Amino acid sequence: MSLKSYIITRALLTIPTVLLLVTIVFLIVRVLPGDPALLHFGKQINPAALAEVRHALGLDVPIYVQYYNYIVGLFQGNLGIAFSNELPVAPQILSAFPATLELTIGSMLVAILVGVVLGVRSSRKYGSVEDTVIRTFGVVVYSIPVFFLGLILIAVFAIGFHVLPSGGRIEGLVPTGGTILGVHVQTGLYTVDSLLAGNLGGFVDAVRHLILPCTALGLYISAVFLRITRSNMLDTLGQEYVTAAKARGLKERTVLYSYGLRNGLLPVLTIMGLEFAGLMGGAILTETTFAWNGIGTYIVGAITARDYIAIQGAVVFFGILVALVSLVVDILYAYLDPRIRY
Amino acid sequence: MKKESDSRVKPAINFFLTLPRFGTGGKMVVIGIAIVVVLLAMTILSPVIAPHDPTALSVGPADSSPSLAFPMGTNRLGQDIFSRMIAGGATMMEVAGLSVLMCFLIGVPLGLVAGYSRRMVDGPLSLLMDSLYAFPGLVLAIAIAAVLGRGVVNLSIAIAVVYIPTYFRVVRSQVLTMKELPFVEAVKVEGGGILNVLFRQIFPNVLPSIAVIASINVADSVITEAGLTYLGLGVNVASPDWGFDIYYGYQSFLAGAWWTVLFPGLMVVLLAGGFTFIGEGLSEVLNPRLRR
Amino acid sequence: MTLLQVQELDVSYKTLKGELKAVQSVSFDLDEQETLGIVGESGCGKSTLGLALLNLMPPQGRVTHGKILLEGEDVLTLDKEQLRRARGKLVSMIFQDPMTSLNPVKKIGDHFVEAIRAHYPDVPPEEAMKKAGRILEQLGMSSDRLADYPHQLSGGMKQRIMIGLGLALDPKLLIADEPTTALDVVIEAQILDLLRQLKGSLKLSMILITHNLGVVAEVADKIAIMYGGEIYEFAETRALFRKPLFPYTQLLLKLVPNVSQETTSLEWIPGSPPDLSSKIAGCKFAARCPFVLDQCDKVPPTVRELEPGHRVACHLYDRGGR
Repeated sequence: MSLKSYIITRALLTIPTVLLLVTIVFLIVRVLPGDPALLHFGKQINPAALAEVRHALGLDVPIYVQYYNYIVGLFQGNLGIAFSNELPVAPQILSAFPATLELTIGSMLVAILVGVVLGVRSSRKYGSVEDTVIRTFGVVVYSIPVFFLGLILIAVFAIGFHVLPSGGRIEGLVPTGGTILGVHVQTGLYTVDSLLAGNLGGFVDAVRHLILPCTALGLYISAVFLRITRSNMLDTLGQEYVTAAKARGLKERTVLYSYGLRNGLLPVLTIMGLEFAGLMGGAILTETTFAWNGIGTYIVGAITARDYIAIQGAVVFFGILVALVSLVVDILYAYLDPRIRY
Repeated sequence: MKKESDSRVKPAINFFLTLPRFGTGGKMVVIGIAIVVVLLAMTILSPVIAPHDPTALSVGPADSSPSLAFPMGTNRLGQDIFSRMIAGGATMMEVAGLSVLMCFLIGVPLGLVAGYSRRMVDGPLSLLMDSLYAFPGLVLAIAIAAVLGRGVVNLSIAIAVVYIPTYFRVVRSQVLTMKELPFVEAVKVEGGGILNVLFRQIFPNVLPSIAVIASINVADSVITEAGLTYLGLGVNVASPDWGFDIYYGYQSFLAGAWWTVLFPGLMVVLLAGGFTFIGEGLSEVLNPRLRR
Repeated sequence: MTLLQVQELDVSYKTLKGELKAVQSVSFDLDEQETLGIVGESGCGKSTLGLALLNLMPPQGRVTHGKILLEGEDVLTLDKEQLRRARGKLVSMIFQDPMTSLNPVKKIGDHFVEAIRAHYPDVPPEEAMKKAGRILEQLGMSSDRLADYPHQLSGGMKQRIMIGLGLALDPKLLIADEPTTALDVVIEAQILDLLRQLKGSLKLSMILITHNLGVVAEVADKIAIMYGGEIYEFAETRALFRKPLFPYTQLLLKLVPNVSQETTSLEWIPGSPPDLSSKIAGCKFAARCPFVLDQCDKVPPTVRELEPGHRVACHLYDRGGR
């Protein structure tokens, strides 16, 4: 089948997966021992007020009606009303999203850079001391909880050497963004926004705040990339078409990049998609450690307040995001590897 | 020539006994097992070897740095960190162990069944597992833990749900490959029923992969449990727990008391690292690197 | 004129169980326009030998002793760039499995263009593509195939492409490692025909590596019999078939079924190839040899030239014949 039909098929397949996903979340929150509203407010609240709140939040109707409202709401982009502040959940999450996005992208970059470069190096020097050192590094980093890594980085660079900030996203004013083609754009990504406003000082400030959290989260994820890249490169480099290519006298660099890396990196792409999910989880822990105002902080706040609607909304948001990213990755993979489509 | 058709499957146990011969991979496994065993022994013997009661408050000045009396310092409540380190692994190990058990008891049989059955059974099962698998792990665990509340069992369930799909997938894909192999046909021809085929023939062959997955999963469970505790979803505050100590030590840490966080963190790294060594070592041993 | 001289070559692999000597004390000469067949069973080291000639071993393997003189220069002492230039242009190699020898994500035409431009970077891609088309036609295929991906072609076609790639740069020596093993008998015959033709028309030297004596019988001028990493017999093709000296060779000849005769059972050699990771004293074939003598598993046999051009290493000929 052609690329187009693959895209359509794959996109359609996402729908039942996402549906199942949101249903699972719905059930998790509802299948509590007890009533979500009651658990949130505790037993002190008087029954009348409780009933009013439940009604306002749509919890006093039968469960299948709730489910229907839930799904319809999702299509409209409505994630419910939070218990704690009685404001709609969706806008709160969306406003917290750019912070998490910035962190995620930065970390993914670090992870790929570190993981792939080390993985390639390790595979080329198979069996050597360098190989063992790199692999040990991979194993060790994999065992360190991301928040612990973050705390160590803070201890060394922020508290110890005072070269980098220990938390927060920016010291100065929040960048206001700039204009592109006459339209005012404010992405919420401080790095982008300060560049758009031509504010180099703000840009540097934002980047400085990004370094430690992205390093922590990035290193945490990099171990997987390292392992996969190394293993794939070893397999690919051992493959006959690489040997055959070398036998034709192609330069080692050509063989490495054009044959080895390209084929070996395709699974890395898939891993990137899979790891994105792990990245989301890690982001929650990183945000907590670095006082980073993203969705992670939002969820933790919701947990403390036992605001189940907010938790539900955030979890659904994450789930859909991951499903979308995985869709994009699969399509990219199909584009790069013709075998998948035919 | 294919030998599968005329030999029965040997128990995978023999395999484990020959490990140390296998170069770096084998060494990693041995090191990993050693680390885990030592930590386990330490935890079990903690009532005997801990110098102070890990839960007792104000045994020493609050947030004091490591000294002879308190080799790892004290935390904000004046508790001896050293004693807490010795005893603090208990919850983590319980949770990790329990969740792996659940994964094994649920994920593996489901995987065997799904891989072996036709579309009607396999389809929905795989769809469910894929959805769960696609979920960001920690997020799912957070949701479930937040909902279920504190407690060792609840935490184990939260973590198990995240990892069951992994076991399921690996087992299922192995079964899919294996059910076409001649030795399975041979058993069927001789009148072996489904249960026989699944459990006595395929299962032992799947065990090595499960062992690898399990080791890496235990490592993951340990880290996830630490993470959940760090976010405030952990078990009872009363019993000493490494994860909790990191969570609790955060404030003191920012004020300069690095020992309140460093030592519990190191313990977690050790435990997770031990299991990771086992997993990495096993996967190296099982993976035929030499082609000739 | 001697094109290739291999002297006392040793190749070892680093394995989990220690060092494994895949090739041991191998020596032979090859002249221009000569074809050498290297025959042996799986695991005897012949493929390793082939790879070693281009210094193409996998990371775990390395040459521990010996020289490979190509037009007088030792291949093993060449630096990376010199080696790269020699590969494809002076010596070229084609492999056993056409399925895995071509890059699955590259079109056929691109394989050619890339190879040509790696050695002649000034050649524009269109020129290279045209040359590729001409090569395909010489091989009996349509130049439309250039736009296809490898998985769209049949096994025979892929192998022909491999040959085409191997010859695209007009090398003096072509090494073919089991070129027909992955193909069915009919295609095999075609490919062998093709090789014979090319041998004549392109004045090519060839080394044909195979486990099948029948294959080399038609194409090779000289044959080397390899066992356990060592060459035990070396002779001109006709001489080898007329008077095989090494017991293993004799057994191999018996294995080739003769369709014109009535045979009800197929022959086979009992036992299995030696485990090269453990040190074997004496002759490697001793364990399976029907004529084994006392000294065979204690003392390795020395190579003797019993007739001009016919060498054998076997204790049976220690005192001038049996």
